[in-house]
Amino acid sequence: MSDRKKALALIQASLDSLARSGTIKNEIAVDDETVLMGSGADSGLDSLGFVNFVMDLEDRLMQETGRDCAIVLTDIEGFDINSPTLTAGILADHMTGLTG
Amino acid sequence: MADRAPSETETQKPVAVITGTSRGLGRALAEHFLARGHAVAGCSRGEGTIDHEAYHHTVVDIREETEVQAWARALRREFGGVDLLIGNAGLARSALYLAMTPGDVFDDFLRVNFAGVFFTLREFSKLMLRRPDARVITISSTMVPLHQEGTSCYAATKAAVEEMTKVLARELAPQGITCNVIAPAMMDTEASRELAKDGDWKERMLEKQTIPRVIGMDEICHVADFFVSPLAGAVTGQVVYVGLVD
Ligand SMILES: NC(=O)c1ccc[n+]([C@@H]2O[C@H](COP(=O)([O-])OP(=O)(O)OC[C@H]3O[C@@H](n4cnc5c(N)ncnc54)[C@H](OP(=O)(O)O)[C@@H]3O)[C@@H](O)[C@H]2O)c1
Repeated sequence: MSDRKKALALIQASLDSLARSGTIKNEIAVDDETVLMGSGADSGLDSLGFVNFVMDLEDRLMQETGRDCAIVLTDIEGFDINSPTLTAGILADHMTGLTG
Repeated sequence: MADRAPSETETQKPVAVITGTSRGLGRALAEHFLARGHAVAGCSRGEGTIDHEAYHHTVVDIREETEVQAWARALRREFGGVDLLIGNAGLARSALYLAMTPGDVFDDFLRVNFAGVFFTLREFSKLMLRRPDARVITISSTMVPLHQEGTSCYAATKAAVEEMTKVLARELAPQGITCNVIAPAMMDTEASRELAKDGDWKERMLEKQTIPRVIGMDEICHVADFFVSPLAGAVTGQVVYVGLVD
């Protein structure tokens, strides 16, 4: 996906659908700084919710690009497994690189 | 990769993924769940041996992380999700005392029985998240509570599988997915026949069992049926030893 805006829109769509299904309590408006994972996460995703989110996002990426897309946290530049924090902006950059 | 794409009717069936289906217990479990109306995706390092319209074989070495990932990705594309996962493939060989066990035998046990099960559970449990009443079953052995001489590596890796399954049971409980372990005593498979070549090994092992006879694979399938039944939705993180009082 060459369009970073599109990547953020997919993240938004995914979080919206998780909010609709009750996986997360509140709807959130995604921007670059939205913390998806880590201390003070805005997303309200617990660990299992985060796995659900990634699966949902991969499905959307596949639909969008027609290709298999795996989001592997340790492949994300700047992601530290020992102090895991992930913002929507960093994830959108990664998605752009993954499919671009 | 997988031999062919599933038909439309197959994608309506519950999907079972079973590792190590070319022979032994894995094959018996695959045939059992095919007979129960599942579509079954099985694997082994060698070619498949089951000829059934709803059976899909993929050559996968579960020791190889990327092979398990590719298999899971292909099944996700073809079936969308997984309802039942049975981590069966395992190595049961060598009855050497620990002091005599070569490092590569230790490595083999770790790679197949522990790492292989880990990769399988990780990749396929993700595909179960949106399936109500999905079930995970792993296979251990009565060698764990028996602490039998000559099983240091085998029993240690099976104990690890039991623990990993219990932790996964907690992690997946909010999603309504149960994870349980079946730990059979001696069954008649190629693996046990190989071990039985060693003198009176079979007789000595049977003596240690509470039910001192070979356990039928249909008896193991019956335990699997119990875990899979909708009424077992609150049974999770359990180990059923078949043939032994722990
Ligand atoms: N037999 C017993 O008495 C007994 C008792 C208690 C527990 N168990 C457990 O029951 C399970 C099945 O045992 P079994 O006796 O049926 O064994 P088996 O007859 O040796 O069959 C093992 C199956 O797993 C496959 N396999 C082995 N390594 C693999 C790998 N790295 N990747 C993918 N597939 C692999 C084999 O096919 P390939 O060789 O083609 O890969 C075969 O299909 C094991 O976990 C074992 O520890 C057995």
